[in-house]
Amino acid sequence: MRQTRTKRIRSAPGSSRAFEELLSEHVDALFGTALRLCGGHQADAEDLLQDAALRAFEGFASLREETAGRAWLFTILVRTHFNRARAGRRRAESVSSDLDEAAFERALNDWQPAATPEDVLSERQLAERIGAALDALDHPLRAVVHLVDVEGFSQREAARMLEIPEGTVASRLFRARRILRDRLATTARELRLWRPL
Amino acid sequence: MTMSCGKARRLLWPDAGPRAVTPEIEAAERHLVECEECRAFLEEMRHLARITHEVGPRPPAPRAVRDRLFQTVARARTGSPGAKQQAAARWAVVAATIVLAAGLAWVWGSRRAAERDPIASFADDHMRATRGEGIVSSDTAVVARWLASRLPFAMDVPTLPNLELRGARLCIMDGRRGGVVEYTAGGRSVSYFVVPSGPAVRPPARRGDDVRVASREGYHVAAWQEPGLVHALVGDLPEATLVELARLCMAKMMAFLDGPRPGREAAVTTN
Repeated sequence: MRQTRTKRIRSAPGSSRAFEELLSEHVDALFGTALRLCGGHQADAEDLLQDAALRAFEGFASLREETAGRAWLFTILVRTHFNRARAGRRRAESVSSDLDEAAFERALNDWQPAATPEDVLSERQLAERIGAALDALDHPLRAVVHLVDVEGFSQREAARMLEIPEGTVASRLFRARRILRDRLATTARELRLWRPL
Repeated sequence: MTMSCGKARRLLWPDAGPRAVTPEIEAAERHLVECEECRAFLEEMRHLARITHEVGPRPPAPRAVRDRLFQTVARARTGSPGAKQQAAARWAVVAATIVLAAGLAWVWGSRRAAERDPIASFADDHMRATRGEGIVSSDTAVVARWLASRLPFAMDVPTLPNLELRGARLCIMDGRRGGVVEYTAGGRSVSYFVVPSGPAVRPPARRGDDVRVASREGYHVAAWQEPGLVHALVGDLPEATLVELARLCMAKMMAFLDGPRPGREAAVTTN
């Protein structure tokens, strides 16, 4: 499994050099997240990343715990994205079909097991299909599954970043994984690679 | 089994993290022991999370995106207003000319220099700089802003004793863009390079605050490193003076990061 690590900032905390070190360490992951949040549109992702980086630079002095730098940067990126979405009169932080507890339990109850996609797809095919499936997800589902499953943040960290309850993160994760699994299975069947359990 | 599968799955949701052991959780765990479908569900959730994490898309930031990002941050750091686009365009033409000229000179020079110590390339660039263009200014802030708008990393413009700031320019080493601050000292020129580390721009062999020294055609080079960047002072000042200035640059760099450390500048002379 790929590991996510957070190095100590080498330069003095709060200095511009320390900020650039922190940004440099996480720029690839931030770009990847921006790209997913923007549905795969690189120009939009770059614009979002620049905006978030400037906000982070302005607020860097407030970062007291240097080991929290990664989550702090991602929080700024995600909130910048949703602020921009809100400015565009889109209610990005809530989904009309978010499940309440009872509906979540019913959905969990209806789950049916299936063959695992990596049994039938190569790693490269799988990566491409997962990327395409992620981009096709509804916006809020995409953000949750990217932060938790791709970037490895905990459900609690994702809830803080997105400013939504943990239960909502859980139900969105479930729905996103269900869609991902179904899309991967469809792809495999189209490629005549699918074999049922 | 009195608990529904849906409730058991919600209570034992694998991403929830540590949870208190309540009677409800214990009941869900008992349910799990007896329910093969719930075990399969939880395993499938973990499995989907795992494969998404392992092979999910993580495209690296393209170099151009990275460069533009750090230039934006550098502009913010130096307080350069983003609206100076006409001036930026003018300087971009100048910089492009310099980069092209430096690149051509570098290609020409590298043909006959394969066996050279890479550190000697600093001396070569210093000599080429006597014909080069860039910004001419003795104002530290102006020079810092000029560099910040062109470099994908932070470059300090140190004030050095007995050296007069003359300006700055760009350099290209191994395809990597670096910055050069130019000084004069009693008619002699001194260049301060900061370039990204790379295969041909190897950092000094030893780590820490060691300064590596080399000479070429009467010019001395005092080089040191920090993570990702190589620094070098180049000039025809006495080697010991250059090393002392290099150590002062390092001290200023640390002071820039950690706070002022006065009292060292007076010890350096440029005879």
